[in-house]
Amino acid sequence: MQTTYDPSSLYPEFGARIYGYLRTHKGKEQLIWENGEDSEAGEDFLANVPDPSPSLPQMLERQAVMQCVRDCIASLPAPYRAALLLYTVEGKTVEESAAILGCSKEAIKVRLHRARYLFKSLVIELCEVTVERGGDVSCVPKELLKESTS
Amino acid sequence: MNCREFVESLFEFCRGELGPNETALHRAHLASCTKCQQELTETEACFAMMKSCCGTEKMPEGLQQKLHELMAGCCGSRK
Repeated sequence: MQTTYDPSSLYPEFGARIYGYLRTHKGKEQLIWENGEDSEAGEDFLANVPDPSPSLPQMLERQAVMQCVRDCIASLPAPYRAALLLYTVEGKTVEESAAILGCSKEAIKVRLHRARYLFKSLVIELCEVTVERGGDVSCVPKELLKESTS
Repeated sequence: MNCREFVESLFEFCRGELGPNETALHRAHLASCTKCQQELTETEACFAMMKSCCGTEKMPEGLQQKLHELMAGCCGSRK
């Protein structure tokens, strides 16, 4: 006996429309999920659905970039790093950062400026940075570029 | 407003922490100064990069409090 997967039973509001679309465009046989002869049709149907997750090389590159940026932050002197992390990562204001670290707003601003310049020079030293139109920044560790070319 | 004044309050401007009058003054200066435009772009890019690489994990409130105390101890003002 054949069992038919009918999405309309799961999502009554949208189900009828989805099912109608699939029947028209994908063919009814592809909606049949069962053990036996027609199981390949079901697998083919699923194989055609694109995987939204990033590919393994993309994930590894992202991991390398994250590690590189974290290394740059870790190389900063502690007072600069603290001000920078409070402001950028934790989202504290200059005033809140000053209250947490027990120093003046001006001291926090000076630290943020110095930390920003140091961070920039470290990133440029370790990574290939390109600023695209619209302000998007792409950063690839130089070590990763060496590995891919050799 | 000159470049020095702009850079002094750059971080507040980035975050929208300034009042409307000060923000308008900053915007007017920014429109005519390419050096400060570059400064702003670089600052925002640096901060966006850091946030995207370090801001993915959320720590518990208690741990955050302890960390802030430690930070104040080692990175606060020198007395």
